[in-house]
Amino acid sequence: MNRILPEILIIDDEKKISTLLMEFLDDYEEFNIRTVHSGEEALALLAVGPVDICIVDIRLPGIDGLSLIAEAKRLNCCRYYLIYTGSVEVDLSSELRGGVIEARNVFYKPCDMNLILERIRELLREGVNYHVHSDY
Amino acid sequence: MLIIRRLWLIPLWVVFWLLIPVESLMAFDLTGRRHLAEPPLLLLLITALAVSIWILKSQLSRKVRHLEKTRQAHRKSEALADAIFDQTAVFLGLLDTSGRIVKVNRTALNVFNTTMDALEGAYFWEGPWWSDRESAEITLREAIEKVMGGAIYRRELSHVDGNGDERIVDFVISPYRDDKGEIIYLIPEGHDITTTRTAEKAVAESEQRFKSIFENAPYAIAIIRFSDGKFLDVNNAFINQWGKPKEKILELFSSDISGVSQEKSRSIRQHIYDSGGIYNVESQVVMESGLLSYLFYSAAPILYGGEECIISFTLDVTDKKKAELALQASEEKYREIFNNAPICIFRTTWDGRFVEANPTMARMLGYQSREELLSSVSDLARDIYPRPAERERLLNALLQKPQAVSLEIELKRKDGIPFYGKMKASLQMDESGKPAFLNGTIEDITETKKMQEIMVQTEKMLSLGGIAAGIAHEINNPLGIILQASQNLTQRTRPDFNKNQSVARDIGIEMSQIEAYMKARKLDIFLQDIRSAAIRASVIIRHMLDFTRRTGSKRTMCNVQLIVEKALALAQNDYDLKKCYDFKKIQIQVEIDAKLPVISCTETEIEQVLLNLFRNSAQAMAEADPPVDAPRITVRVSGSAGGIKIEIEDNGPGIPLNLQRRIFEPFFTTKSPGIGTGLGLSVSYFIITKGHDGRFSVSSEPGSGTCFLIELPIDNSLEVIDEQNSP
Repeated sequence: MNRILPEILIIDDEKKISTLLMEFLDDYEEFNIRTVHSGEEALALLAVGPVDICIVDIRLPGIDGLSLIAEAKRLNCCRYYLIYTGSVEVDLSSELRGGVIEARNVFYKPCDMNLILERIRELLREGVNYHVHSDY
Repeated sequence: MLIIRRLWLIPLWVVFWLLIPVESLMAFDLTGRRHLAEPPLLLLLITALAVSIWILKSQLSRKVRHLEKTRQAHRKSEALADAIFDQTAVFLGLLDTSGRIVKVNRTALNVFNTTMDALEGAYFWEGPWWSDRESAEITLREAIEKVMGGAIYRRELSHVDGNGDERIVDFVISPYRDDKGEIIYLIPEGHDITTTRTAEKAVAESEQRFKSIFENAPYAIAIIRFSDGKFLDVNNAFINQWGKPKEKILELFSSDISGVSQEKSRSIRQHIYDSGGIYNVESQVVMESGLLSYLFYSAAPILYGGEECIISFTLDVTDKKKAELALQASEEKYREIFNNAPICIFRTTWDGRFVEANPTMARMLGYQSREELLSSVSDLARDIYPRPAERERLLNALLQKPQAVSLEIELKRKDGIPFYGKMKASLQMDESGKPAFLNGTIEDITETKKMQEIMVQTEKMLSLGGIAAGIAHEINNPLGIILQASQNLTQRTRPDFNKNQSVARDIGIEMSQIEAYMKARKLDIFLQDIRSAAIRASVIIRHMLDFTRRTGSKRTMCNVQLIVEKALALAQNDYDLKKCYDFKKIQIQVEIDAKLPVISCTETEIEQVLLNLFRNSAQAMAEADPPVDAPRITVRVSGSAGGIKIEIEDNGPGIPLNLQRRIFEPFFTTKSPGIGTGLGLSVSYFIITKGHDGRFSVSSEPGSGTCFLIELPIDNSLEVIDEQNSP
């Protein structure tokens, strides 16, 4: 099993949440998962190397989740963004709503992690095709 | 007779003249003077004379006897005449042709208190019986002139008797003629007719009086003939009443003006005759002016001019009648108001009995009718208040402020169910100043109060929602940890998971052993419990947030029919629902008006409300005891000028009355813990009333079903709702 696993970055200030999600996804041995606990850390990491999927909490210390996504998009260092939030006050700004963030990419805590897993797999399958036809 | 006797003497005289010379004869004349005659002749003469004397003597004595007899007869006649003249009751006199008094009878002298001596030779007009001598003279001179012309003068005159009283006299002067027909005297005579005239005058005056009463009586009086109803006489009031001249009326028949047929008129007359009269009958008549008049009519049979007639009295009571009708109409109007006012109106005694109450009051208190209420309530404090102290409270308030008291009070229906009323009452004192009556109104404010309570709760929820949004993140994170941890536990104890198997093998145990242990110790169930509790808590948090969350609630022109269909489809596929009961067993009936007004709404929200109602309905019917025979949900959507009405009606067990006012209350639920959050209906209420400016109400008859009514207005001012309304 020598193939390169898709990179997943979980950004959540609630360490237990990110750890438990990482543990869950890790069991499937389909992904290479890392966790960070702030937007700043995430951006630093993304600057080193791009990832396939970011799972972003909205409420974060420092820059918030949406700003993080906007910035990461600008840097073009991540293919997909999933939102995983404990608040229901997500105001998906028109910028994000029109493009990357669809309702099906938003998950509210607490959430059945199987749903997140399914969505990740879906995105990555799409991504294969995308990958083939793009220069990325 | 005398002449005949003289004729008998003629032959004697012839013989005598043959026997004596003319001159001797001449010696005799009728005066009886005699002359001495010649001796030879003398004897003869003496003889003849003797014979003649004898004859004459016998003649004379006869004549004297006759004369005497005649005189006696004459005297007797004269005495009789005098007696008659004096004794007659008639005033009688004798005047010469110039008018001087010759004689006046005793009757006159006595009555006028005078004597013949005073009168003899005086002119008749100078007699004491005249009140005005000058005019008497003129009158009498004229009269005498006429009588002298041979006529008889007759006239009624007035005299004054000896006592100064008036005597009315039928006065006549007639001529008295002698044998030759010459007028030698005038005979005045006077019949005293004072008594007759006085009586006549009295009769005339009496008649005049009654005529005047008849004519001027303020009642219209008419006399009609019994046989044909013709008017024989009518008075002024009658003429005025009918506005026709009297001559015209007297040509008419009663049926001509009374507006009834001749037949009817006849039968009325007959009835008056048979019953001896009718009294104060009220009737309507159309007057010539075309106006309707009300008459009060009385009639009785009378004899009038010898004919069978009817006298009728009519009084025009139109004004009174109109006032009466106006009063009646006014009463009617107020009775209508009283009976139909949508507010309860009452009057009670101070000690607690109804005097009056309107039907609305009876209905509100749960009685069939006003009559039932009035007859069955005998003690207000006991019968219409849940606690007698409530009435006490009202009475105390009234004593403080008798003019007007307004208070919210708890009342009780006939079936004992309490409700809230807003009572406005005033106190009425009796003459001695003691409290006597309570007058007032009651308005059932149960609904208002219910809504108020809901609003209060909603407000609470709004602030709660604000707090909830703030803490949701904090709570959701630990919930997320619980859920994820439990999920990881589940995942890592799964015997069929590759990673688990390899890890277990490294340790030296089998996953199947772990699984067996977990089952034996019910660890799997505990994990499931942790998981469901976390999900349940998260659902509660989410519903609480529904009170504030507006994100994504975008108003669009929506198709209510589609929303209904979608909600029904969701309900039919609802997994939770299926667990408890089969929605497909419920007969769904959808009635949607062909043409509905377009309204704007947030489709997902209305959908959520409908789904909620379907779910509640289905659950209620599934749990009903006794079970519902043929469970049915009817969805009725109808349009009106104001908006759209959605009714969701089931034939389930209904909602008990005491719960109806609480069902919109947040966290109020009749379901077992974990089944319902108690937020569904309050969120729905909030969505409809706050979010859509509509109305949301329930009506339910325990045992026969429930109907929720949603009213969404067409003109929705909330259309420009702030989409970014976040706390």
